[in-house]
Amino acid sequence: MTVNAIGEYTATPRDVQANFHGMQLLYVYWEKHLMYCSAFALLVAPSLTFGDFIDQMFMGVIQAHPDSAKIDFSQALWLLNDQPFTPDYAASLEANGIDHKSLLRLSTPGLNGVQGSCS
Amino acid sequence: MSSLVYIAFQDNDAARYLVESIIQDNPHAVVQHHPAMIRIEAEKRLEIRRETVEENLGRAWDVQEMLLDVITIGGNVDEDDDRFVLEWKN
Amino acid sequence: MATHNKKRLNLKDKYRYLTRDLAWETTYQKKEDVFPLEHFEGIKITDWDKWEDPFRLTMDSYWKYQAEKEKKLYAIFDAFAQNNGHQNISDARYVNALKLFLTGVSPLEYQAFQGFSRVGRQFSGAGARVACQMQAIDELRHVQTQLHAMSHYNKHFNGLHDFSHMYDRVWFLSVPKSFMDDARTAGPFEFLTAISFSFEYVLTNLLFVPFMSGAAYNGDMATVTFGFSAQSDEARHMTLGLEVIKFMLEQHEDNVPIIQRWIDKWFWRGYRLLTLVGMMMDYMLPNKVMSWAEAWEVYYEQAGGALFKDLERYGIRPPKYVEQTTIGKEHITHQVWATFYQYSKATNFHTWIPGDEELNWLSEKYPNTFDKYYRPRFEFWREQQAKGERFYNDTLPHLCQVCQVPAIFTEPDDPTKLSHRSHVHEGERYHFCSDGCCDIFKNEPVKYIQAWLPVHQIYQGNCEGGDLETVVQKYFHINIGQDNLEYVGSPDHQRWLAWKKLETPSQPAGSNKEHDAA
Repeated sequence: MTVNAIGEYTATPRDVQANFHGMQLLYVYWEKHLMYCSAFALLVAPSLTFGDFIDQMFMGVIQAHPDSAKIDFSQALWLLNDQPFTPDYAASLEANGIDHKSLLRLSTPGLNGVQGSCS
Repeated sequence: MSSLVYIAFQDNDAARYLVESIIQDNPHAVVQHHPAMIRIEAEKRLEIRRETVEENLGRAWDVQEMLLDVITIGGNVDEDDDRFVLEWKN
Repeated sequence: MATHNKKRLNLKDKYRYLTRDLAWETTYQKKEDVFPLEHFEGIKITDWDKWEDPFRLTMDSYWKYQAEKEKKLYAIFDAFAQNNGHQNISDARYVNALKLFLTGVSPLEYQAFQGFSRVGRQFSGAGARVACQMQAIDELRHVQTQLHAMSHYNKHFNGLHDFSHMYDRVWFLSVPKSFMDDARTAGPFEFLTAISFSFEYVLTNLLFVPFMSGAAYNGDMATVTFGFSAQSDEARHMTLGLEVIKFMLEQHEDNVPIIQRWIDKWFWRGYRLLTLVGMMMDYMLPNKVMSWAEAWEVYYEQAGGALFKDLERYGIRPPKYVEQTTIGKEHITHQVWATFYQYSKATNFHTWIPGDEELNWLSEKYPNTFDKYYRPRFEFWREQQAKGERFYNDTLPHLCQVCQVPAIFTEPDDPTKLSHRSHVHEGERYHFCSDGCCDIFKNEPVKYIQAWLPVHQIYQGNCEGGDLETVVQKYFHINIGQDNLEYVGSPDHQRWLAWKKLETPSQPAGSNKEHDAA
């Protein structure tokens, strides 16, 4: 639907990738670990490899959680924008099909948060 | 499901007479005391009558004076010189 | 019994003479040119004379009663200040609720003043114009009295020093700001549906009634007085809100679907905004009056139930997704307090883990959810804090494109899973916290693609720096180490202990004796 207005109503999207100076936004949600209140919003280089993203960025982000040290990434299940996804750790985010404002969901079976409360 | 109308007043001296008058004129009303506030709810209808308030207060009273002490209301409002009515018609 | 002056006009006549009869028909300009915004929204008005103000308040009485309210209010402010009332509150933690109120609510009053001034000019019906004019003045009075009341606290507590700057910039304040900007950029009829009906009539009770009663219960005479004084105006505003809706619905059947869509939108936006108030009630009032869930039951489910039953005859149904609020009432306050707790580096107020007594109260009030989902989280954080590792989340959150709250809410049917919705518009992906917000976007995407989302603005480099500290200090004007972070050990806390001649505790306020020993 269009905006009901007194004249022509147009606007430009404020968060297109071009506004991020060569970087892009990536949201990551670690399921059953709601101690982190929402998915993380991260600023990443499209050329970053998935492996480096995990090791150099994501592990630091979730470091405070006692489950973070127990993650077995070989068992991890991923969804990229709601679709099943198998990351290639050696390839870049871009080559993995992770585009601007993508939402990655990480599920780590067996890890259910603080005292199993999904926190 | 019941349809409750309600009104709340600041818990002050003026409101004491208002609440007293409301209970007198609306036997089905329920009064609840909260910190600094008195809340009255009633099924379908609640009425404040000028005559009753004036009797209790011992002076002339304008229905619009209730605006000084009221906190909130729920229900359709109808006001004239003699009464203030809150009502759900369905 | 006193006798009345029989020469006096009765209320109905006086209202007619002092409102309707002051208006005139246009002669040398077309009416549509004088009131150019009255038609574009599609609302059809056939007879403005059907507009009713049940209070029949005229300007002369309005000034008389408002003057009396002000005199009473300022006498109490003076007494409060002269008696160092800030030292008689239940606990200094309470003041943090006021900091949120000053930055998040008072600016809304000012925006409402602007909004009603604007739309009051746009209606060709004199009754509506007068009602909007009075409400505009009321809203201005509210912001002024709130600032006066809180200026006393500003002398003694941190975080209250720059509210209007913060309102325009701080991440969580984009939630109330975007709400009001959305309403103010809508047409006059949508503005009234949004603010007078959905917000004032359906939802503001939750802000001003139980929370203000809570202020009284926590010894804050100044706040309860401005709150109830403002709310005495709200009683009129609420009546206006209900009359507006009934008037529009009665004027033309074509208005019904338009109004239904506005009710759906503004109920949901208001519900999201009020999450902040729910948190203030459940977590920031040391002495509790009622839980958010209880307040929601009384002021929405019961009162709203009666309201929507009454509106059924016009073909109006309760707001879409209302059933999600019945589930959400047991979760949202815990979710949002956990959010502010972890992002306390970027708030102008302090956060803390509730004490044992408060945790037990939450367990009792939220028997289905608190122990299962939230208490373990808070107890874990308390343990971390005791070890000197107070938890802060240093990574920015994922925001909803519409309500701008971080997407922290869980699925209605699964409290262990975050609720995410997304939608692609013209090749660009947008994210939402709920079906409610996603629907609002889909109805008017162009309005929301330009949303100023604080997290994205920081990442685009528009907030004076790339690191959190620079943004917080320089862009938000939050003084690091004074206004933000944990309450325990904060300058506010230490000052409070000095006033009360108490020792500094070595443990977080949240831990009990046994816990201390352990």
